[in-house]
Amino acid sequence: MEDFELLDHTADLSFRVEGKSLESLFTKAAKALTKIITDGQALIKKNELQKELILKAPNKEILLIDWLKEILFFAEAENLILAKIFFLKIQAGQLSATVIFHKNNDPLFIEIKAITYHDLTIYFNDEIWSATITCDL
Amino acid sequence: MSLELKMINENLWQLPQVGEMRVPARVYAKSNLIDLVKHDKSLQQLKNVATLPGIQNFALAMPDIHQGYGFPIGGVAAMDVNEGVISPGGVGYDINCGVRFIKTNLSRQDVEKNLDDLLTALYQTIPTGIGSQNAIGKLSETELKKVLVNGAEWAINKGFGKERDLAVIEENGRMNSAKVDKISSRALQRGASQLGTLGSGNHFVEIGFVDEIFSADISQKLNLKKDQLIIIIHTGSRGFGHQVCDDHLRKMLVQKIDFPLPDKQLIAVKIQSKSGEDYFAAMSSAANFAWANRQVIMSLVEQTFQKSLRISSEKLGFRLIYDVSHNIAKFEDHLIDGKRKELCVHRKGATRAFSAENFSGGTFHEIGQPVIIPGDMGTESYLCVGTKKAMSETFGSTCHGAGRMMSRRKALKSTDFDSVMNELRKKNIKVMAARKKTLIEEMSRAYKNVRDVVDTMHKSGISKKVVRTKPLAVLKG
Repeated sequence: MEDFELLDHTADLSFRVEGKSLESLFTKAAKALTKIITDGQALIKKNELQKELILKAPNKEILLIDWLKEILFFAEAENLILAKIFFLKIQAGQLSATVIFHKNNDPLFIEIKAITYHDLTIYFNDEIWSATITCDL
Repeated sequence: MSLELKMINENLWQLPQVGEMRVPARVYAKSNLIDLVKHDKSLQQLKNVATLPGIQNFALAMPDIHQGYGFPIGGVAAMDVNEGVISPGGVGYDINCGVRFIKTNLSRQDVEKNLDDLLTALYQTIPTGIGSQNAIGKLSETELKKVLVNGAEWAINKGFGKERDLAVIEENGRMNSAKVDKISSRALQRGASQLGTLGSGNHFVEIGFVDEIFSADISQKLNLKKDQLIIIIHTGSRGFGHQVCDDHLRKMLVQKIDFPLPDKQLIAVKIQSKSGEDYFAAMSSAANFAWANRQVIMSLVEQTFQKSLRISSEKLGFRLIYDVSHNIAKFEDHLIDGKRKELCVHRKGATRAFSAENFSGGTFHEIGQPVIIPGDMGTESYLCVGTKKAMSETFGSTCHGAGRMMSRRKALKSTDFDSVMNELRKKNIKVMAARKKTLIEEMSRAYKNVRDVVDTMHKSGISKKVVRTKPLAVLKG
């Protein structure tokens, strides 16, 4: 069972994630994005790099997209693929996290031009947080 | 949704103005194409576009319309410059994604035996696929900024192509509104190694031939004849443009707006505002990057042909016919209620198709602006020209391609690599791509029939067919 659901989109790519907390939702979304762009291929764990990320946004939806854009930017521009997320915390419109990346010189499986804000709402129903994210291919 | 569509004529449909819509919406489509539109969210997206402030006449969709994010792909929206808004979503992430059409002095028979070698040589010369880079080496920040200001002219000054090419590129390959101080360091970082690269997805370099001539007069004026070898190049502003769009969308999202926004991705700001002007300056820089990119690729293709076929430049006769953008916003004058008015025309998956009257001299003053409408890798493409009717009905715009109708995911599930290759082999079309997956995603069945799309606009009198081309060999992104 995947931790995310791929949805049909005529031209682009959408996926849905759920989490028991906002932190869990954000973590799963980042891992889903990584799995999509690498086709889930296990990376040879070398050249590990740790980054402390701090992001601020006016609402949780924009914060989620900022977070995913950050993960995508490192993958596309610096060949750094997300490996682990520690201490992800969301408070008062701010996300902080310690992220471990692995250097990857192989081309990505899918080129995502951008993470869009299309129809983006983070829902909280029956104790579950959920969001559907659309990527421009 | 479909019940709301009213037929204006056999190629044109209207969605009435309801709710927050400021104007009605119109879709150009033959009946079989309009049925396809009803299966995704593209009509709702078109209705959303009609709610944007300052929109004039109609929110328009071309027959290749399909679901995008925010704007539908195949959409045209023209905004009043004083009252209206500019929307990065109305241009898209791949700013100035576009197509160029090149003629040669060769015929298809001249290269038939060399096609495999040619395609392999192109594959080795032009970086393709995901994250492709380093076609011409990494540019310094100073040099990249020169690209952003000078567009195709930068490439020509560096020896990629000829001065005469500029006259046959939309905007002469350079938007003077570009400002490099509106570009983020991340965009510069992403763009530095990507000039001269094709990218992935539906981008391509196609070696083809003129298969049918619809207008003998116009094709003669463009020096095109049956069986003549031609090249089509489709790519855009790569990661640079994506980052520019993203940066400005993000800035706009935190601003207060005084109009209802049905979808965050449609975020727009007043054209006459600092953020509107900043976006337009940055978008112009990305447009210039894309024109330089296609110029460099064209030159690399020419060099590859010369080397691979061992012929001189004169004998090859590489000549750019035209280069069009299909993801862009431009300031243009159009007639609204009989009065000339300056508008900001957004074309998202739509091509400018200006009539002959818009050109003060030369061939285009006689024939109108050439429009290039590529189909998928297994079918056919079209060279058309813009018309007076395009000026009065669609703000001088037409379709941009076949238009996807099947998601990539469904395409991958519906067939396999060998079947796609067999189908192409039966048609004597050779293909190469960085990944097998791309070729499955780009199979013909994933796209609408380009012939229906082009015929809709031809019969509507918006863009007239000049020649049809067919592919011989395709390098996919």
